[in-house]
Amino acid sequence: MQQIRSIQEMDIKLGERFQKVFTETWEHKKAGGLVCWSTSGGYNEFLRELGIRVVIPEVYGMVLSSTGMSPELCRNTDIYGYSPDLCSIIRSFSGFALSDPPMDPSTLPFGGFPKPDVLFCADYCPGLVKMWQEFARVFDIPMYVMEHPWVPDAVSADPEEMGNKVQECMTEFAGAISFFENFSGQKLAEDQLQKIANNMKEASVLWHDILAMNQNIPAPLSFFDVANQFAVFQFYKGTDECVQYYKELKAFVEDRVANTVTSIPEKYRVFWFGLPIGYRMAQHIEKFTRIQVQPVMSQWACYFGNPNMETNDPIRGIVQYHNLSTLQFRGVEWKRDYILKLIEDYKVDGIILEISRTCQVINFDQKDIAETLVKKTGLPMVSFEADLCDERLYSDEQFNNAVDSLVEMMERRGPGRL
Amino acid sequence: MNELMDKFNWVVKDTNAYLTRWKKQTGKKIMGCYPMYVPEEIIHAAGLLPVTIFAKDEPVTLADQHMHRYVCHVVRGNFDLSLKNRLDYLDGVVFTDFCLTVRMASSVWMVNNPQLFYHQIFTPQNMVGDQTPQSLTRQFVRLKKALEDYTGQEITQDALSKSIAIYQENRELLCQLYKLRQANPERFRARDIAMVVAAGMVMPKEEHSTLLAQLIEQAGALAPQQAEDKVRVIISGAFCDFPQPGLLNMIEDTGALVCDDDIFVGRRLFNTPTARDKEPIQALVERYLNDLPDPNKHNPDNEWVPYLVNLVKETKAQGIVMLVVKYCEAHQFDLPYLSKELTAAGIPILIIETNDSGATEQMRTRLQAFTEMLISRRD
Ligand code: SF4
Ligand code: SF4
Repeated sequence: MQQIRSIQEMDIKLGERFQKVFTETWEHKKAGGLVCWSTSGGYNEFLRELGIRVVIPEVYGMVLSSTGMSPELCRNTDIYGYSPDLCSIIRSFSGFALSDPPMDPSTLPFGGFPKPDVLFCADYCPGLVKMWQEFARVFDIPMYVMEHPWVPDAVSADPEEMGNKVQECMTEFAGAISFFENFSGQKLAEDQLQKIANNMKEASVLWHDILAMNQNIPAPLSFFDVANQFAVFQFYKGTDECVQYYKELKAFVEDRVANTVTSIPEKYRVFWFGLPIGYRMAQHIEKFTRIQVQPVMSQWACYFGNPNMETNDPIRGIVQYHNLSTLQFRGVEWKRDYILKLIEDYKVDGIILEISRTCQVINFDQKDIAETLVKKTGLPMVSFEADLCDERLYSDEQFNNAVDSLVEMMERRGPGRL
Repeated sequence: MNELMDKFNWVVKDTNAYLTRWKKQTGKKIMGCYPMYVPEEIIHAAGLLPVTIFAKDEPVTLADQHMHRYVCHVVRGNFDLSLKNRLDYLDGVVFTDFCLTVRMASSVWMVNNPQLFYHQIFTPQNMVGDQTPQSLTRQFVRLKKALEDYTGQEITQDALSKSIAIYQENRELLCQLYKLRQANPERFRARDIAMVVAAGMVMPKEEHSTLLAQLIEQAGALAPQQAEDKVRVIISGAFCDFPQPGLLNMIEDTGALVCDDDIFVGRRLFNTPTARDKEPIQALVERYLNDLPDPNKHNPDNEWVPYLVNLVKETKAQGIVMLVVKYCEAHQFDLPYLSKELTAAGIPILIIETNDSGATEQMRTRLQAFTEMLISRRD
């Protein structure tokens, strides 16, 4: 018999980790330490070893979304002249980062974060590079752009091309290390990088083990539970603390599996193809609980970690972590096959396509992929438009109608698990 | 001049008919160059015709099943043409990945047009990284090799140097045309200049240069015209796009003279030369690295605003009309910076967002107000 219990206990631990990271960053800054604003997709884990604390504004953007602060901050950027067509995560954190006079940090979740001394941006998303350029001008500080090459299907299919790609990325990564060594006046020791790579690998394996436990019926977690837990990767990636956190999380989830505990009653299991909507998460959980539909997995959860990274050469391993595993940076066919496998492994009865209006990195090829998913699996699918932070682009009515009609289709069809 | 213009217009308006005929006559292959930054000289040296893939002024119908409507109309538009079999003259497509939309579009294109030869160049964004020149060199060498495998013919250094010289001659002719235009913009409609430039992105460069030389000669012989009440502006932006002729006419009909530009189908194509006296691949790499600032490239030593300020000064323009393709993310992100800094430099700027619905009455009203403001500033 399934027991329904939220994962509140882990959410509290997560909140504590968050608070710790922001508090420590302020203390570091006050003590004269260096702070870098960097992007979630990459390569910043070595900065800590050079005495530079990293802040990831994108992750903070998601916090702002969950706390309901995004609409107001997005409106600020409307005033500065940024189009509402642009990524709402970026507009959310820029709404306070660019505010003049600066906003009082105590009015922000976790007390906000200090201004940067340097900027580091991987070029997987144009909006981030552009906003980092604006920050570099406004704060008058240096900035480093690191190429984050795209891996098209033709490259994925050719081991030699893939080898070249990894080699290119390794050269890029070495370039970034050398820039930050010069900037900090410190040298990165090989064993420091090795330790980072080892920890990244261990945390990746743990994370993917945790995700895989959702293949159980009932799944011990909903995708919405998982959605928050990725955050430790972002701030603690490469550290012992990160490994420790995911060990605790794994033990917690194993216990749920052993005791048949889940967070949403599970009459139907669905795949969530898109991004979680922070500002409606509570309502979505409530709705899914009511109709007994469990979103068990999403491609998004798999963006984090690469359990297959090699660690004998840490630079190679870290490149494999960032560039090779992640669905975001692959061609349509690779993504489609990856998602098909998830749908199969997680035994779902239907698909919900969430179209994040202002994130092209995610939405661009969704239509082509979704169409093939339906063709190949025969599963029912519904879609709705939304956005990560800008509530103006989301409609409860559209969401509810989509989900209700999916339930009708699943009822009509009966269990559709593959 | 009219006869020449008719030819340029025909090539651009009926590219399909022109290229289908060309292919039949020559028996050669055509390689699509996805905008922007494909080093066409390498394709030319492989004995293929490099042709820029434009979108057309027509409703997107089939592409909407594959791409959301909030993808820029350039990418939706040219993909739509491929699905409507309107690009059947293409034997392959070479993409760069200078912009995220192009990156992602390449994949969707190839899944839906699997019959085409495909190659993608990874164009760096970081123009100041120590490793950037070597990494770009490797990319261009890879393109060369892929084309050699495709045609079964080696691309010799000599052939590359010849192609660079042919392309460079064409650029120099366009420079001359633009000099004439700067000196006497009344003589040219912005729409006509764009047609001339665009025709050269479709026709073989050799043929285009011949026609262009005749055009320059004929235009140079015309007596200067005077249109005192007009204000001089430059148009900027319109990345990857052939700006709507109706919109270009509208800019001028509201009392402005376009005396120069900073658009893809314009100065951006020819402004930066390729050195003829260097190792050819090296020369192409250097052109990419030294090319005009662009929102998708990162180079704090080559920022867009100082370039524009200088262009305005050189051309004695009074303002800038900035054409922004809707959903062109990198460009949209630059707008607050451009507005703020250009205004601080005393250069008025009007931002017009374009999509596939063409020139609208609202655009006319804004253009009119802008021109009137420029006239009152001048007076
Ligand atoms: S556009 Fe997408 S990838 Fe870029 S910052 Fe926004 S959410 Fe992230
Ligand atoms: S118009 Fe802009 S968004 Fe569209 S392909 Fe060109 S640079 Fe990219």
